[in-house]
Amino acid sequence: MNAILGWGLFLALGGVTVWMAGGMLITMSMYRAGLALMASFVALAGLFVLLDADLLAAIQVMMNIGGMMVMMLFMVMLMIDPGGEMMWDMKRKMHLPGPGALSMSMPRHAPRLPVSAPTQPAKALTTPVAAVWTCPMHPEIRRDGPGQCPICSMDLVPAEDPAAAAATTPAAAVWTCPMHPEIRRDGPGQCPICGMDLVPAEDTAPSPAADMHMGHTEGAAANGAAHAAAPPAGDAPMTALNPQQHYEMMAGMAMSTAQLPWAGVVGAGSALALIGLILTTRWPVVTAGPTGDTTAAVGNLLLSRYMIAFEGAAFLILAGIAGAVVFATRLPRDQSVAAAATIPAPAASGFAAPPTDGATAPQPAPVWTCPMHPAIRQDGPGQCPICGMDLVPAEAAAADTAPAHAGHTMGGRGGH
Amino acid sequence: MSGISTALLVLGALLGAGYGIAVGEAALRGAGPAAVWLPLARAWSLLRQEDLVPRGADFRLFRSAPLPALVAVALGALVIPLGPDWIGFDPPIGVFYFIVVLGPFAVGMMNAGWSQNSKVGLFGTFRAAAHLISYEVPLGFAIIGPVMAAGSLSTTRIVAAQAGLWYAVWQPLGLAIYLPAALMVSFHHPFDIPQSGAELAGGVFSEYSGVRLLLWRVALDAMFVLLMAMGVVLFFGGGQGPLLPAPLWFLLKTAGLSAAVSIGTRFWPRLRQDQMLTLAWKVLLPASLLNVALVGILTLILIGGSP
Amino acid sequence: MTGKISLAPARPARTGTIVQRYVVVDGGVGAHDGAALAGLDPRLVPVDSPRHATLMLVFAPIQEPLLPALVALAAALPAAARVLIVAGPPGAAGADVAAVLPGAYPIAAATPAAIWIALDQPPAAGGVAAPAARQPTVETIRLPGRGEREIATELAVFSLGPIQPFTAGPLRLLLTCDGEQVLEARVEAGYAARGIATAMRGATWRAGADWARLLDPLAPLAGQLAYVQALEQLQGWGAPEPVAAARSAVLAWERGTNGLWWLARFVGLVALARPAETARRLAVTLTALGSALWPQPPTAWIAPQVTVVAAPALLPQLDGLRREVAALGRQLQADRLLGLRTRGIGQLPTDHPAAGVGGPVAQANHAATGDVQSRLDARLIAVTRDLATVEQAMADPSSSGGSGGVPRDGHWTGPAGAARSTVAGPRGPLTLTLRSAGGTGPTAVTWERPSAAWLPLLPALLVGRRLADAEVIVASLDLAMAEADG
Repeated sequence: MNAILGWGLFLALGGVTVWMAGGMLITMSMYRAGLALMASFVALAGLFVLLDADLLAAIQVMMNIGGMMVMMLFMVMLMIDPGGEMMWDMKRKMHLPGPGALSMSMPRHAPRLPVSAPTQPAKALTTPVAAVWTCPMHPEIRRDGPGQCPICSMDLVPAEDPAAAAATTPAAAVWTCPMHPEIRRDGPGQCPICGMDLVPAEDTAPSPAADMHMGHTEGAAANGAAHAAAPPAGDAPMTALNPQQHYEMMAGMAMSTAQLPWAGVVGAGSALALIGLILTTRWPVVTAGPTGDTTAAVGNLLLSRYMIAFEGAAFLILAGIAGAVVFATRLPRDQSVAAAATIPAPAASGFAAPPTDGATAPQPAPVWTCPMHPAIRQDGPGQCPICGMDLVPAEAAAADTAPAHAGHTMGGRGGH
Repeated sequence: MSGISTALLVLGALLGAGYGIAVGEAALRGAGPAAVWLPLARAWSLLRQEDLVPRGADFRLFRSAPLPALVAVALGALVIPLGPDWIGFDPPIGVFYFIVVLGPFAVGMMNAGWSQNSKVGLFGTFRAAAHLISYEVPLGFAIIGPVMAAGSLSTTRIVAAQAGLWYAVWQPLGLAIYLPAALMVSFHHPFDIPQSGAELAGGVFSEYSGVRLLLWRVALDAMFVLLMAMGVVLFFGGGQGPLLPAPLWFLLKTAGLSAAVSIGTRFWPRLRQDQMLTLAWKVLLPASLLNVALVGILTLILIGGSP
Repeated sequence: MTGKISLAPARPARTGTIVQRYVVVDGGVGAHDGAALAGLDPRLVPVDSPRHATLMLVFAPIQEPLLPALVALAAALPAAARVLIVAGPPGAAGADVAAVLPGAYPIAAATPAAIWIALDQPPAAGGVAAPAARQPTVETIRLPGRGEREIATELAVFSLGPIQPFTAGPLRLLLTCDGEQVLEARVEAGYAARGIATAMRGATWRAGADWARLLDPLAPLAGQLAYVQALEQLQGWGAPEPVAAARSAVLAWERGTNGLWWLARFVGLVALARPAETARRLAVTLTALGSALWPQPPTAWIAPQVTVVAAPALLPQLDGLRREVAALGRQLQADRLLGLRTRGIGQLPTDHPAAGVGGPVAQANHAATGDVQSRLDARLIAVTRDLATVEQAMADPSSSGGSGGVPRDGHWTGPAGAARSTVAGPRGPLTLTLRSAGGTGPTAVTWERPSAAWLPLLPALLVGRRLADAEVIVASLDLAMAEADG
């Protein structure tokens, strides 16, 4: 009975260890990668407990929880994904299959399509030629030309005739925050909670409180369409990705980027070598048994076998990081950005990526923007501070995204 | 003691501890006699409130985040000896085990902040992570003092070794290091930066409501009491005392220490993140190394070379 | 405002819920009442996030630009939470909050009794409606490029307001943060803009006094006095010594009250529990003492050429209060622990454009290093001095027992001309300029106000600071947003 229980526990813990280690590699967020690695190490500590190496298990847990937390902290701070949620959110909204919290599975087939494409009324492309300029905050300020508000010194904007404004903006459009769906406004602006730019929402549910009950699955249907509409790159609905494109897209979103297959091969090979090394040598713990003299047994164990596992695992991680760095820096910066921009294949027009590919270098664009967050504009390529996506040149997007409000895009004191 | 009764005892102790802390807080705020029932009423209103999950949140992580914290508290409570035979689990590495199981608490806090998918939560997550990496070393070194003096990692032996003299008496520096580190572990007032910095609007808990918020409250209060209880074990001789039975002494000492620390922290402003890190790494860490040296010398003098 | 505070917690009415957790949204007038509520009833617990709340208190008037944020906050409340709208000062105009929050229930004042009674009422039907249409604005935040920074950490745009204390309502700060450090700050103001100068221009001389009370709703007497003095200048009337003394006394009382409320909120912000409670108690006492000192509300007798001033001298109470305030001030000034959060941050540049503006902020800048601690010190000194002024005026029989007199006819008229009067308000000098063509009301009204002068300096103060310090620095400036937005 005890033997069966022991074997069951061993298999369960071993399974969790391996599964979580695999999940670390393929999960789409840095934070989840850290959590998965932490879980893997804790399960490994469980294996130590099974081997009567309590102290070692305790050390394992303590060191790795601390270490993983530092890792998560730095990864989230330094690399992509503030909040870690944009990838998750995107995956959810695009109906990509995969299990829930750890979102580890790579897709095997093309996603189902969104039910219907949103019908956004075409926005007027012309800025109204305004005779009167006013302050966005202080409508009572009315001047003949541009300038600054005497009250709040914001830049004045052309005063729009309310009737004309109603004609150019979709009447029933509700704008919402990608992060806070409960924020609902009648016009674009920024989320009062997180300051993100609002995106058009499709569903106009009367009770936001009811909305908030909806978990990921229910909310997805309504939001998927809205999300696809956010960068209005074209009127076509998102077309199906073939499995190869889909795989490439998901691989692009996973933390180890395009080197994932190589990393997988190297990792699996190293793991097999380690397992072989451990299995082919004698296990002192079997002979040591639960005697009183555990310190000596643990010491032996540590020196003879576990160090191999420890160092091997550490080596594996280091090799992975080094590999990613080496592979990633081989491409020149602009090309890598262009390559990243093409990961969503041109067919996937949901991404508003400019039709460039890796072979032809993109035009040096003066302003780069995020496909998801048109408000992010900077002078060179880089990553979106909101969602961590690679920035794309802005010319085409800029003309499309906010034509109606081009007059006040750069208003305020934002000129840095 | 059977596993089930131990578990029930631990659960009861945690709830009782949370209640006690809440009563103390209400009393300190000047609620008067109402302090006795206000925490219950508050818990009741939280129980009745909607437990909502924001739509953009990482559903499972958000809902499960209090569990690692509660598990950490429950596992930690197992090695607290209320009396000579009143202990749930007495491993030979008891104190070390205790430090280890504290880790998931900070992980739970981080998960809570990260999974809710908001900026305030993310900042809270950063702060919670910084907590763990700053408290761990000073806490460990502060605990090494009693461990060296007692010559054992077992909590029962550490208590037994203080039969003659409490370690608080001749290791005051260790106690002075342990208490701030314990406050950091439990995210208690001057170090409650991740969850209630005024600028974060609730920080890691900003999206929690209803029963899950209550779970977090219980976890935080119980964690604080747990660390005070460990402080009693390490520095105030555990359940030892004249006349009264050991568990009663232990509870009295724990309540006394908790109250003293709670009142003391009321004179502190909420520290900034960098100040907390400075305190941990530039003050507590060197002091704890000094403490280890001092305790080593004193152990040789007081107890003799052969532990 | 003075009549709203009751010292004793009211007896609970029969109610279904025993404890209420509340958040406050302040349209610009409710800072003091909201702070007072925090300790009046132990069953009313302030919380940090709307998710934690069972109750949202909206201090009307709310101006239209703030409505969307208000609706968003109301929508973030968990189910079965209630919204109560606290009526603003009389005459204050604002957007129709009840229209966008149909389930909200109006109450007259933010007292525990009123709240419990209102909560006993069944909630009105209807959820949260969409906010009124607003002119769309696209705000752009340009983030510094990665190459410009030493470590290419991820930047995040963090919003202070609308729920954090001191930005609870009409002040929004968008902070571009590199971790805990503020790289760039942007002030969004205008959420409390009422266009008050325009409103005064269209009003009669008499009604202008009501508007003037709202110039800074947290200091209604200063605004009213500035207006009345300007009117008296137009009329060519100089206030005799007793009247001037009484007016300066009531003004000092208002400054002291504001200073103590600020102190209570500020010390509460850094979570210094004990002194915050003391400061709150002193503020409540001083506020209540005001209605005892002047049985006839000061708003009634601050009028042009009115000489009736009669105030019972409550010297023992005043003296005790002043001693307590002084003791608290000494304690806080010497508190090294509090200094951890207040020293060395928020220094104003010496050549800042608002150098001419007075008030505690400017005094701190002249006298000391100009950091947050020096502002705290300056306010503590100012409050003690103001209380001494009140005490002195009360002790002086010539001002407390002034001779009666009836204002002559037509004192609510403004002969043609221009007048400019400055009053020492709690946040600094409040200057009001009236122009008259001899008609029924002013033809031009302009006013200069301290908060508006400090507001543009905020980005420079916040850049490079920690996120946690940002809120402290904002708090130390003591901005009255309704006043700043005009």
